[in-house]
This record gives sequence, C-alpha cells and structure tokens, in this order.
Amino acid sequence: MPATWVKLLDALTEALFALACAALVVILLGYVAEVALRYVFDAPTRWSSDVVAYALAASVALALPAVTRDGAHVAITSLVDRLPARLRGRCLRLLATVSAAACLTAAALLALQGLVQWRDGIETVAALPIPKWWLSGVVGLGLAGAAAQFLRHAIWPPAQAPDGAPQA
Amino acid sequence: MSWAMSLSVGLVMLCAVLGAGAPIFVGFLLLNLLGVWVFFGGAGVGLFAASMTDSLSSLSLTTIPLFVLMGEILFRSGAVDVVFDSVDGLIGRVRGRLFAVTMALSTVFAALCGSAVAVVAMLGRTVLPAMHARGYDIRLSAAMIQGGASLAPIIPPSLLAVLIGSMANVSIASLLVAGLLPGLLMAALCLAYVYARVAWQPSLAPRDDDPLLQAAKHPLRALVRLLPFTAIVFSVLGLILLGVATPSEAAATGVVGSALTAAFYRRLSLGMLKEAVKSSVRISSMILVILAVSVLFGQLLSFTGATAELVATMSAIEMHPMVMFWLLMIVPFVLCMFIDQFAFMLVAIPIYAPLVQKLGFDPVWFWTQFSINMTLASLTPPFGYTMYALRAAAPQLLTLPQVFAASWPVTGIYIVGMAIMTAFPGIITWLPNLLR
Repeated sequence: MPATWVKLLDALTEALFALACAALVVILLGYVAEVALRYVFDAPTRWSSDVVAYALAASVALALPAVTRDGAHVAITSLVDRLPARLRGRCLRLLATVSAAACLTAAALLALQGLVQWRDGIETVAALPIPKWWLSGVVGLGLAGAAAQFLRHAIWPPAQAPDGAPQA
Repeated sequence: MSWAMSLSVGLVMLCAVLGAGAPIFVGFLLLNLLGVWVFFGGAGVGLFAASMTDSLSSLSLTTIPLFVLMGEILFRSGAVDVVFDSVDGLIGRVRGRLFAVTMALSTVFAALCGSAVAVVAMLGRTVLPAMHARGYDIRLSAAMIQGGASLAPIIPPSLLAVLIGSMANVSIASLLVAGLLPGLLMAALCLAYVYARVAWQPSLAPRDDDPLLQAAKHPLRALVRLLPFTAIVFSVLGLILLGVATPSEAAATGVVGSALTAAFYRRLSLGMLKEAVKSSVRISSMILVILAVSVLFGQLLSFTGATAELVATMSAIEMHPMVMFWLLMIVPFVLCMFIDQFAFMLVAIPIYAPLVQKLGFDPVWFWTQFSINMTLASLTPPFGYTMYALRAAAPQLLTLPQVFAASWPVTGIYIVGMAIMTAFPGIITWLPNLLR
C-alpha cells in the first residue's frame, strides 16, 4: 500500500514537472516570437508578455513537488548535520511535518481564494485576460504537491523509503 | 502589537525555523501565514493568494530561468571547452601564466553564466589539477579560482542583480549593466595581487616552459573560435545597452545564441537540451518560490509600520552618509558569515530599500555594492557556498582549511574594490547612465 501511494505521488509529481518544463519552453518561445515579430516584422504581439507571465507561475509552482521530492530546497542544515544520526532523523521528520503543514495551509488558502475568484468570475487585468482562479489553482496545486512530498518524507524518510520511491 | 515587538518576534521565529534546517521558503511561508493571521485574520486570504500569484507571474523574474538555461546549455553541451582552449591559446608565456589563464577564463565564463558555484566547480576540476601538476602554489591557485568565480554574480548575466532589482524595485537592466566595469575591476585587482605575490616570492609560480602548452600558438584562430561566445555576450549585454531588448528578451536571445553555439561546435543534442531545461526548471523553481514568499514578508513589514519606523529611527541618527553606507555594508558582511546570504538578503532588502532612498544614495550604485558584498558572503568561512564547491571539485588537492585560508586574500581584494568604487562611483554608474 505505501509503495502504491508513493508510486502514484511520483507519477503525479513527474507529470507536473513535465508541465513545468513545457512552461519554460513556452516562456522562451514567447520572448523569441516577440523579439522576432517586433524587430523583423514590425508587428509586436499583444499576447506574449501575458503568456510568459502565466507560464512563469506554472513553471515555478508545478516544479515544486519534484524539487521537494529530491530534497533540493535551499536550507541551512549546518546545525542539523551535526546531530547524532538518530536525533537528526527525528529532527528531519519533524521539519518535514511542519513543512507539509505550512504548504498545505498555503494551498488551502489559495484554493479558497480560487473558489471566490471562480464564483465571482474574476479575471486577470491583462491584454490577454484569463480567469484568475487558474493562477490560484496552479500555484495551489504546486503547493499541495509539495505538501504531499514533505508528508512522504515525514512518514517514510528517504533512507527508509518503500519500494518504488526515489531516494532524495 | 508594536512594530518593534512584531519585528523582533518575527525575526527570532524566522531564525529559529531556518536554523533548525527548514527550507528557507518554508521559514518565510510560516512567518507569512502567521503574520497574515495575526494582522488580517480571515480577510488576509485574498492578500496572501494575490501576493503569491502576482510574485510568481512577475515578468521581470522570467529573466532568471532564462539566464540559468543559457548557462546550462553552454556547460552541459561542453561548448565551454572551446572557451578554455581558446583563452589558453591567447595568453603568452609569462611566469605564473595559469593565473592569468584562470582569471581570463573566469571573466569569460562570468559573462556566459551567472553562477559562481558552476564556475568554481568547472575551474576546480580543470584548471586546479593542471596548476598543481605544474608546481603552482595550491593556496594561491585556490584563491585565484575563488576570486575569478566570484565574478559570475557580478558580471552580467547576474542572477543576483535580477533578484535584487526585483526586490528593491530598481531597474534590472541598469543593475545588470552596472556589474560589468566592477567585474573587470575585480579581475584586474585579483591579477595585480597575484603578480605582486609572485614578484615578491617567485617560488609561488613556475616559469611555464612546457612545450605542450598552447601558449599563443594560434592567437588568431583562438580569437575566431571565441566569436560565437562574443555573439552570446552581445546578445545579452549589447541588446540591453542599446535599449533594443528588455533583460528577459535579451536572456531569451542569449538562450537561442547558446543553442546555436553548441550546434556550431556539434555539441547540440535533444537529450542535452532536455536535461538543460529540466535542470533550469529545478534551479529557478527553488529560487523563485523563496522570492515569492519573501515579497509578502516585505509587505507585512510595511503593514506593521516596521519599515517606516526603522527608516525614521535611522534617519534620526546624525551620521555622515558614507559612514552609514559602510555600516549598512558591514552588517551583511558579518551576519552572512553565520547565516545564509540568500535568507539574509530576503530579510534585509525590504528594510534597506527605503533607507537607501532616504539617505539619497544612487540606487544602482548602492545595490551593485550590496550585490558585491553578498558575493563576498559566499567566499567567507564558515558557510560560503563557493568554498565548499571548490573543495568538492578537488577533494584530493585541497583541504577545507586551505580553502578557508585562500578565501581571505580574495575577500580583502573585493573590499579594496568596493572602497575604490565608493571613491569613484562612476565605475558603477557610468554604463547604466548611458541607458537613461
């Protein structure tokens, strides 16, 4: 059961990460298209800056679960690293639990706000407006994914991960 | 709760959480959630969500993943090997030749990549073993590599400049361009230092007579091979300076230029591009999520009145602006020896920004000096990233105490550089003024 849960989480994390990578490619192509159309064809776009901005939010947020799974977040670990192995393990589990709670709360707040935005039909103020709940939803999804990965580290620390779980 | 009390409680909590080893973004997230709950209650949900989504969809921040991608393509494709060979071929036979090669390489790499850790890792793996094998003093070699790699966050494309610019609300284009002359000054100072040491104590560097060296063998060919890289530097720096492109657009053209350069040297592959994109997404997500949560921290500081009160308190102190400037620089220099410079920067910039305005400093000059100071933080023991990256790149050649010892002269050189730029601010402001 744990292995199945972890495999599902990893599959979701990989899918979100692939979308995050695609969003970076969109950012690149958006700018290249803008520069080419503006200077070569003298026809600047109305959409590129908005598309690029939305893609940035997607790229950063959707990569969060993968960054969390790989333990790649910037942290000051010099004190924790000096603890005896057993105490260090406990400390890391506690930190993972607190981190999961923080990310989950943030995701819940974004989901709540997304619901309000959906109900009121609020759109972004832009040349290419989109429903604002799309942005809140994407950022909330990324944070929820990160919370799930932190929780996974709290329950099964990387050293004791069940089969199928990559080591952080 | 008074501003002083809320600021103190907040900072103590943040230090405790970060010191315990929590990811930096989690530390700020916890503080923000608590701050929003205490000061706004349920009404803060909108503020929190809007701050997160607005920060993460800020156009100016798109420069970061693109600069990272540019460096990733060049380094992963191995196209930078061409830079290595070409620079090696351009420097003639002089005593301590590899010191000059190291500094020239560092300057070129700094113009292609904004990460000191990436440059120090590369030089530590390639140049340091060659220096060791030829009898160069290992400590001086390590110092040169650290000094050279530290140019990366100063010379554009600089991630630090983009981060500071977006947090302090200063023109990112001006901050990027402002780093060029200070970077070249630091390179010159490092070279002056090393050749003064060699002149004083010739045993520190051998006379290179190795017939295998490519020294000045085919300078013209070496220059021609560097041309595609010059085009990349122009597409980033030149387009910004000419006012043709925004920093993000310039970064995007830099990415295209990197891919074309890799293709030109037959080093481009779909697999490499995929890996470069993946790595860039990871690195930029890691950086930008911290930035997003720290923006709300700054907003909360303003709301509690802490920012305004701090400015009022500091303004009441009768002190010469230059004394204030050095005080504002000494605080991060000392604190960053013990706490992570990234975490410090996120706390300090919202506090410093209104002070800089109040004290009447040119914002481009001040924040460029601040970014050099932050670069120093990664050079000073015991927590400097650059030092650990160098040690990790050459564990058989260097001990950690040797790396620590090597970092102090570089720190001194950079402080001298900052003093020179305080006396002659035009070194920083001349190029950005051309943009205005």
